[in-house]
Amino acid sequence: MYLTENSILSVAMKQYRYKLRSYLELFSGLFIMQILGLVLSLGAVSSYSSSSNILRVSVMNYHSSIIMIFTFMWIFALSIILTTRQYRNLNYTFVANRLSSLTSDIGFILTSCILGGLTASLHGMLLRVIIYFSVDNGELLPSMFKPSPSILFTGITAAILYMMIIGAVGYLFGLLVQTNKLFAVLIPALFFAAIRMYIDPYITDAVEFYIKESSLTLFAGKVIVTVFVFFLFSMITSTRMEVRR
Amino acid sequence: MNLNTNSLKPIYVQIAEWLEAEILNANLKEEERIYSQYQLADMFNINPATAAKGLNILADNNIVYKKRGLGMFVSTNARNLILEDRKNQVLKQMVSDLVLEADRLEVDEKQLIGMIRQRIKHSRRNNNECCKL
Amino acid sequence: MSVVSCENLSKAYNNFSAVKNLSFDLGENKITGLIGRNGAGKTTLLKLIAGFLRPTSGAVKVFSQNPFDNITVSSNIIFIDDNMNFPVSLTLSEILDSAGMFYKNWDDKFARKLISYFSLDLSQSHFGLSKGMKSTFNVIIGIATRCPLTLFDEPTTGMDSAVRKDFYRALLKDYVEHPRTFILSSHLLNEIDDILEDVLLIKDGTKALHLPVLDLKEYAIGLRGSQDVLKDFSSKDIIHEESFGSDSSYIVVKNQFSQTKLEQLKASGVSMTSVASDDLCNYLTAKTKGGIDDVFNRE
Repeated sequence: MYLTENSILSVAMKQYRYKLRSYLELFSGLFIMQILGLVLSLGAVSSYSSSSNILRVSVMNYHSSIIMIFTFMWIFALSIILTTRQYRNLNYTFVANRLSSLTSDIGFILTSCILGGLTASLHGMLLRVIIYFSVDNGELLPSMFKPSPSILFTGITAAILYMMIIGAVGYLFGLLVQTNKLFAVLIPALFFAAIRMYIDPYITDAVEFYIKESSLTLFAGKVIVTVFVFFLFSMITSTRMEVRR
Repeated sequence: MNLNTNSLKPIYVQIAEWLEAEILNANLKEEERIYSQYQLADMFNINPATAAKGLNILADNNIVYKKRGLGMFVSTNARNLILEDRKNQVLKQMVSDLVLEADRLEVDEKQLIGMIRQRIKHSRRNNNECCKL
Repeated sequence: MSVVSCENLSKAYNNFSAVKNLSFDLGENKITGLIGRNGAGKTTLLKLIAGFLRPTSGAVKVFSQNPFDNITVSSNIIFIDDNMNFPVSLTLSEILDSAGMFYKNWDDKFARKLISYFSLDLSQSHFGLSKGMKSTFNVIIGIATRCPLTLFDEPTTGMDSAVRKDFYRALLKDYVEHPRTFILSSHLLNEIDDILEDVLLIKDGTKALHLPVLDLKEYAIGLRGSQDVLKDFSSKDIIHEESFGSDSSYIVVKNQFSQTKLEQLKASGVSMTSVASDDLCNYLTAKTKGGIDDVFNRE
């Protein structure tokens, strides 16, 4: 009997292309979140004013960080959604095995990170453009207004890398919850406990390991290793699960 | 022909009988290729294995034979074989049923033979009339 | 070579045994019907064969390999049921393209001809289809992928009788032209028994019968006559019984009679009928020999 042979990688590629086409509704979520973030950013983040007899000064500070935060929330939600039964079942309509499904999910998450990072930064640019036109020109302080290309590049890359970590964490979290519902309570509890204990040097060190890194290349290296570890644990977790359908 | 799925007669037997009828009325000629199991499957909307069993009955009775690589062919003497076979089995079965039923209805031998004679006369009359036309 | 072979296969959920010690071999390139009542374990068995579930004990082998998490097995089988999940955002045409991407034997022209025949709109999304149209679309995918092993789990749910007939005919014709192995699970045995080659009858997760459908049709015989004559049959041979009027009975027994015995029965006034395969399967998988009438009969 003539049997078709397929390598896991080639199937993963096919699943990846299939997912890019099929999960369009997830990208519309990104669009909505970013527009929302943009609108919210139009109200100034901080402002202060002071006045004396002669002079009155008021400063309004705009920041595009809300857009970035919303985008981070989106990638976290996306990676959890991918682990729900409905989406896992979609894998097995045609040809799949666990490893190919995981690989294509990883590919999809990374693609989403790149897309999300790019669009978030572009929205930041858009914010600047809107403010430029809505405010009298002389009143703009140009210090951070026109970022140089290298700063822009660093910003985008950093955003993508942060999203990769969040995506990997979200995926593992989602898988763990699928194995046992208790994790849905346990892990957030641990997370909030960790935040409370931020004063603790271990935790501060762990967080600053990422945040305080000044070299982009080193940061990228740290992120890639971290993401790899999380996805490795995801693979281990998924071997304990059944392909239920 | 429509298969009778409710009959006591298995489908492959009905197929075999249909093929025999086709041979008898010369739609299938001797030394010609007979329908394959796949053609029969398509014609009657049945599984080819069922059709194959029908063909095998004919092969077992030497009504068809297999030519290697070419399929099944109608034997030279097929027509006569079928007629002989039908006489032996089908007619015999009918006679047996007839006798049994007559017995049940308490019709004696003389009455029964009389009924048969009458029917033969009637049928001969019809045949003559049709030929006159 | 057997395409599917099970040895003492069992699958249990918590305390419920869906499949118990099932052993059988399916031959290559046959259409096998998987028959049984609701909850008998047919869907579980098909999912074990498809590699979606892991056995609790025992083994299932497809193409001589373990189908679970197996990319080679997955590449050569397709599982069609009425729950097939397709992404909400894809049109029917895009789903066909996706199927073609995954399966080497996919016949796109053939699939589109079938779609047009059944009057499905390619630009519609799968989500918006009616139940019957979904089932129709799903079976088109099942046939057009031309997988060496194709599994259908109650694929005709929601289809009207004309569409069902067309599906069976399309299945048979494509099987003749491109022989491969089919497993078709269905409630409607009377509709499909002509196109089946073998029947695997499941009762409460175990194998009740596995034989060619032609043998199934001759497996039992129905006898109708006076209770006097029929009382000679011992209760363990009786598959089913019903009483009529004050004296007559109808019983179904295994057909192990010689020609002379049949003549004898006929002579003593017993009428004989064949037993339709779906009736026989119902009797064999029933809880009691009298059927639902037992609920109504007074003790």
